[in-house]
Amino acid sequence: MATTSSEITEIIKAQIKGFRGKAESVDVGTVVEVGDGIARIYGLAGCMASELLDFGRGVFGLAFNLEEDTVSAIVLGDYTEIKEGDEVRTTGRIAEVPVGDALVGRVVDTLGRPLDGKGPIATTETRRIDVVAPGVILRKNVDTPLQTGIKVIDSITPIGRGQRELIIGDRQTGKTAIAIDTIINQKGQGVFCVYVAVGQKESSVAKIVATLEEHGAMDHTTVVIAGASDPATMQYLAPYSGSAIGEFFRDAGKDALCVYDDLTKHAQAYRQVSLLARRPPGREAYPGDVFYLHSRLLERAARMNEENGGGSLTALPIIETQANDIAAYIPANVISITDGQIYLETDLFNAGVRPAMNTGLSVSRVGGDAQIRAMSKVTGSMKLDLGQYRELAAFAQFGSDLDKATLAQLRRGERLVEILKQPQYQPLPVEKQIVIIFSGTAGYLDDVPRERVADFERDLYRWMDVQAPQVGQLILKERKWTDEVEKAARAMIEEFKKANPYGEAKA
Amino acid sequence: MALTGSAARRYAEALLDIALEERKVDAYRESLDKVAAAFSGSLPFFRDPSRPLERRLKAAEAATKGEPTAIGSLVSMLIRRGRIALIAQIAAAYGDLVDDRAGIAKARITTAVPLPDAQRASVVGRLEKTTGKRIEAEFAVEPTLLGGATVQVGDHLVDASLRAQLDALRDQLAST
Repeated sequence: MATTSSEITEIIKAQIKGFRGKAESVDVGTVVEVGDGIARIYGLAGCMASELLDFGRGVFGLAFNLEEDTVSAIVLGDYTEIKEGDEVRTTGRIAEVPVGDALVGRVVDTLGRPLDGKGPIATTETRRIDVVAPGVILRKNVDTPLQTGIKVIDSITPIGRGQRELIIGDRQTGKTAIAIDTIINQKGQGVFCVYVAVGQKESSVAKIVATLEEHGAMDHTTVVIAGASDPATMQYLAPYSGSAIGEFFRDAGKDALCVYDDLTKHAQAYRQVSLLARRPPGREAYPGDVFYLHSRLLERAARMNEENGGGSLTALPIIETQANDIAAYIPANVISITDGQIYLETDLFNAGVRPAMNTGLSVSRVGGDAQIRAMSKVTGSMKLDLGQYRELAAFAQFGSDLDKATLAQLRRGERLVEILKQPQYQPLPVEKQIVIIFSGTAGYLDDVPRERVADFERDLYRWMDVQAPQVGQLILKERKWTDEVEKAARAMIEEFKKANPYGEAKA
Repeated sequence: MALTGSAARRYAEALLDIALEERKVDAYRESLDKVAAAFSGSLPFFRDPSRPLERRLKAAEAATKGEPTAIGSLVSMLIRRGRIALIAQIAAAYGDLVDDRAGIAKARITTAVPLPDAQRASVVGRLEKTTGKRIEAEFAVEPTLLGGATVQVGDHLVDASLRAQLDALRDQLAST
């Protein structure tokens, strides 16, 4: 874009001509004390809750506590710039972030300022960081699946667009991996993603961004970072910012996905801010409104009805537990807010079951509505088989003389567990998921040795691509598990098995 | 200031109630201002716990002789409770409460150049009309405003200075 200096002069001239100076009418106060990201301000009698306050020199704050003569504000940014006696002005505004298509592919901080060195964000639209969630009249039922590309999730705990599904587990159980795989799988599905990193090491976030870039997932993703070294106020606000960025797409009639990684750290940042602002501590020293903290965030995930654009915002909050304790304060809160949870366990992870999802404790309360019909039909019997297998497996450890039916049940279960394993960064399209799960539940895997199930799976997918592409197309076209589809699938698997012998399974 | 402000106001409110009952609001104000000025100079003496309380109370009693009884009792109560340092703030808070009741608001008017008396009167007149209160104005000169004026009534500030408008223009130019 070539602009000559005379043109610049013209532009500035026009702007100065058009400038209408108005007398600014604001409320003022004086900083009494400042420290730990909290400023106490005397005055500001007309200040509103959560109002943005101007400390001058480009530093802003949010009114947090309104007291009799003072206001406690949480400072966004560098509080060391603020001194006792400084004048503080109200702005009449609430904190906002820039939103829009220009944010796609960008890495930003809580206030939407770019962190990726790719220049300013070209958007004029902003949205309030903290808004009231849409009411029930504006919504409709969750009925469209959000394909995560992860077999065990799409089959057992399907996630719908507009749902809130919690990912919960101890450290190092693959919580973030599930979220990242889900984002990667949204490529080409028209779902815009926001990944909010709260209180994480900057190095881990950089690694995640690099992974997303490598898999081409940054083309539909915004990353919002409030790292471990950022002030607690920024960590407290980051999920709301991410949600606002996602809501832009929801309200434009598009689909969006927001990952909050993780809300445990978010609650801790809020606890820090609250205690510094002298709010009374409650259980585990969290303030009384931690439930509201998370409920008002997650309630913003919604599926809008047709009159309101029909867009959706799906939320995938992540919670880190200590020693599998899902009854602790914050985990129990978030479990009760969300529409289901994906529960990951260290034991399973170490046993090589990855994703380490505990299929017994994980649920999706939206359930079958968020699956295509073919998938819910095929997985119906799998949940039962898996449940019976878990029960039997515990008993089978003690005795060896089991009857035939029990042995068959165990064999089936082992193979089902095997096919639900999946390596990282390899999301699977839904038709392949359906075929492999059908192979398991229909007994085609019973004679395949357990350690060869992975080979069977890999080769079957290749066969589907090369020898029988019509089966996948048929499933996608019909979407239901009709007799015709089942016949085609059976024929393909039988033919495949004839061509590729995997040897007899040892009993 | 802020942390103790509400405590001082409690004492001031109580004192105002008594003053209203006795219909001596203005007399109390005068007396309280005098006492506050007198005690502010010798706070270390009255707060020194190494002196017996009796002696400090006696000294205070002597100092407040001739003042209304309520003021004397207030002073001795403050000394007993170790809060005599609040006396100046109580006096200020009492003054504010009385002004507030009388519909008097304090305004601080800052201009870049000193205003002639005629203009001062006109500014005060305009302010009284918009606020509906009697204005007790305080004028200040601040050359960095460049032009125009800022008017602060209570916590509310109207900034019509050239400085503020130039700042706004700079922000607008920088953001486009």
